[in-house]
Amino acid sequence: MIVLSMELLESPEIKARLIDIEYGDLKPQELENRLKQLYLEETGELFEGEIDIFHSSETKNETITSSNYDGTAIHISNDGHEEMYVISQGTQGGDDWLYNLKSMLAGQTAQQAEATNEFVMEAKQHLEVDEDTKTYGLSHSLGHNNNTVSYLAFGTFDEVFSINGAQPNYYELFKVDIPFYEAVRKEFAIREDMDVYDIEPQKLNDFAMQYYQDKSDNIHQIISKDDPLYAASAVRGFFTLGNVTMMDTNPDTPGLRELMEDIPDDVVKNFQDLAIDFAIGSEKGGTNGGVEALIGVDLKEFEGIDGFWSGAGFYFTHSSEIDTMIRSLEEKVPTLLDKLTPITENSEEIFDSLYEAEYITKEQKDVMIEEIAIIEQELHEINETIGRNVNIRDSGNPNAIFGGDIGAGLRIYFDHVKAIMESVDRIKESGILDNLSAITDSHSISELLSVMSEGKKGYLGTDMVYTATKGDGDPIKVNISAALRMYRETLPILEEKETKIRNFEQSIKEELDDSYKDEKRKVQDEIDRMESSPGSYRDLLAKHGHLPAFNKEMKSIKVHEVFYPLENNDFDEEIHELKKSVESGKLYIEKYRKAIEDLFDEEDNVSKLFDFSRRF
Amino acid sequence: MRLKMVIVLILMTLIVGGCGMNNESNPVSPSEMNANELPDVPAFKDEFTRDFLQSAEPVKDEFYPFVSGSGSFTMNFPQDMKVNKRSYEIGSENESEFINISHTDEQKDGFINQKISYISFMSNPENGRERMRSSSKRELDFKEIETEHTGQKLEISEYESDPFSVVAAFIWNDNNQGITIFSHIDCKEDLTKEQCSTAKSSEKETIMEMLKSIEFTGKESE
Amino acid sequence: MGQQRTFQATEQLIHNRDHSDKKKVLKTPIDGIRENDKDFYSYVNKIIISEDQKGKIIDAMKKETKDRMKHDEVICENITKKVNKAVNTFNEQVTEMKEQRISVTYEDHNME
Repeated sequence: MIVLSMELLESPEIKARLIDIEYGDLKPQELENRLKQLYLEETGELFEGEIDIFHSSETKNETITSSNYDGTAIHISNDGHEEMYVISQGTQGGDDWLYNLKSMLAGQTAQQAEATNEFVMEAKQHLEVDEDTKTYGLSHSLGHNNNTVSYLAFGTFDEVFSINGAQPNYYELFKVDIPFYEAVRKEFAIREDMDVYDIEPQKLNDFAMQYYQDKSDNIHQIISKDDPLYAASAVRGFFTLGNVTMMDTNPDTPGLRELMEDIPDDVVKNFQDLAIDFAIGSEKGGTNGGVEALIGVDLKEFEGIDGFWSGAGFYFTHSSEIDTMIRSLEEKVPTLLDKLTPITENSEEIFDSLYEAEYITKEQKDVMIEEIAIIEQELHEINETIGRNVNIRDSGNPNAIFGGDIGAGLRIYFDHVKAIMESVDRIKESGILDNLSAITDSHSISELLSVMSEGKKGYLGTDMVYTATKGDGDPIKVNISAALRMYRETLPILEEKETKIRNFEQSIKEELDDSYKDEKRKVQDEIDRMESSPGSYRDLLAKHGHLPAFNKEMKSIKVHEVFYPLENNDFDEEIHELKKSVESGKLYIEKYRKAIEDLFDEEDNVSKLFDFSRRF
Repeated sequence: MRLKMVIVLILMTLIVGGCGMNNESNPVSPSEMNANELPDVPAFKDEFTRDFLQSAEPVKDEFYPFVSGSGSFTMNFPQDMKVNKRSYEIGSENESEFINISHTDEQKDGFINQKISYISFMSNPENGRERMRSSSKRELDFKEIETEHTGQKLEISEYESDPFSVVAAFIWNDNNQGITIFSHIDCKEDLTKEQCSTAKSSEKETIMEMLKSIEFTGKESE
Repeated sequence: MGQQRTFQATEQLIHNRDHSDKKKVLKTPIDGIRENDKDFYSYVNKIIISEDQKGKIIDAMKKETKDRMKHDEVICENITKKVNKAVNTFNEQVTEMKEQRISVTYEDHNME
């Protein structure tokens, strides 16, 4: 028996594009139109069923929004067949994804899986979806971790589909999937829950894979070999479940994961921790922010100190900051060193493999190895200075506490923190961070889509591109999605333009013609007043030199009025030009459509696409 | 220059040093107390667990006052258990929390591991029950239990999942707050069936004491 | 009984007011039209992917698009200039019309 799943949105391309479009947080009507267009482009058919959309931000009781869950539920029905698709964005989306990545690497996202489940239940109630309607989870990146944990633990979905997804984590499932939890405890004879972390990761991985075997068929993934998240999933905790289609988006470079696999697991993990801390910090506050995140010192507080003497002055006004700095250094530096040391020990290997894989240049490799060594050295010295300082403090002499703190505080700042900052700046100048950020392109949906093309069909971002079959020069690439959008959306624009032309005509009449008449009437009223009651205008005598005025009596005023018609108020020709442009614009749209159609053969059905595109 | 600086330093040292001598004498929470002043029980010996405990004075025999990290509920915490630091989770803006609690005493006959999951975004209590059913893959039948707390409900469902006896508890209010708790009890390997069952019922009493003591403290954001 | 005398003068009958704010009112719909044109061509210009693509049909469409864009721009530009001129003229003419020649007749009661 053939089980039809995700029937209404069958192809991976349509799902991938939908997931990408959902990131735009479109209004429901707009999303519905985009979905209908996707359907049209991918199937060549008009979607004539019903689409109902529920976004996490429009829930009535506001409970979902407060959960930071971000996603969209789409209920689709056609010919009596119903399906619900739920697209989960990596929770909190956008700028905060690093936070999520971090919590995920730490194995802490079970709560987000609960939010996913809660949202799906809420969406079903809101959209009045039947209990037995098939529900599918779609996602990219971190959303896959949420969807899959939610599916495995709570049965939230019937199936899940993802692009470059973050894998589920068995420590997470140990928290929320009770039968799995019980099975693990039985299998490995665990008495205290936390002993799960002592089980050999490979054994737990194998057990989880086997335990969830029957669910595996319902998980569909497409992963790019170059996706950094896939590389990151090599660390303990993650297991890759489901039907996975691997794609090589950059055949010339080896996959990142292959590189990572040469480097010891704990080194990779340390590197991730530091990189993420730094990335989160520097996103908010540049290099300062990045360094602050690592060593816990807010460098802004020390701005403007450029010598020991002004530093001493600074101490008297900011002794609590110095104190805070030393305390957080005391706390952070030893752990930082623990993480950094294995990296420096392996730095030759790490950066050499990045260089071999052509992710970075030879110069960048050298800079990295050298600067990381410097940073480690500086941190060691900070650590020693703090150690001495702590001894002084523990001696219990308040004066010594002070003297020790100021000396240590300022020395740490001037000698070491500044040196670290300079190192970081040299690393930045080498451009290596830009090179490495290019790696993240391989995490995008569009890079995967670009290799999912077949025949004359291809993708650019989330748009569909056709390569022209006819034409006299090189094959021409037409963004067919953009062409259909043009055909659909430009007509309303021309209508708007017509309205504005009418507004302009009206304004000309009101602001010039009518207003001029108004002004003229005001003058005429004044003339009438002067001529009918000259006595009120005695001041004219004095004003025009007929003095003294007290013995003179006003008899009459006669105004010899002259009025000219208003000039330069004729916009007829321009308005005509505007109207003509609207009319020719409508023809132009048709002409453009015809020109595109002519680039393709009839069996490409481009004409049908245009026709259908105006019918939703 | 140098001399001047030394003089300033000495002067300032006297002033600042003198000020710094004030010692705090307020009553302090357990996390700020010296280890030797604390009750000699596992809950206080564990540094992470200590942070949740509000006082070194028991609320009743063998239980100490506990406030969740999100500040959303309080309960009576058994002295011989501790919070697992590694699996502890707290959601952004205190909207959710996961607490894993275990017995530490290897000598005990009965042994409890407990998963407490708090959310502030539960749209409807049936969703909470449904999530517990799907999470346990069982048709849980909840019974309401009377507690002294008003404005919130405690519901319980028990089942056996060899070798564990499980108490599934659901606590909720009309303010979208919900706590789901799975408490697993098991026995030391070498007990007879009867001994194990006695041990389990004694541990169940501890669990019930904890569950009944749980009280929401309301959402901070409102 | 005094003597009647008449004199003539040019008099500003009403205070002047600046009407330059009409420029903004008149330009608003034109700015809107410019926005519409911009949206319109942004849809159009995404269709053909790279600049160097050649072909008779495409070249013709590209040329037509370019000409239209230019033409639409010129229309709006001309109108904007003309609006400035029209409002300036309006201001001037209204100022002028407020000044008129008047003849004032009075009786002088001077006894001497």
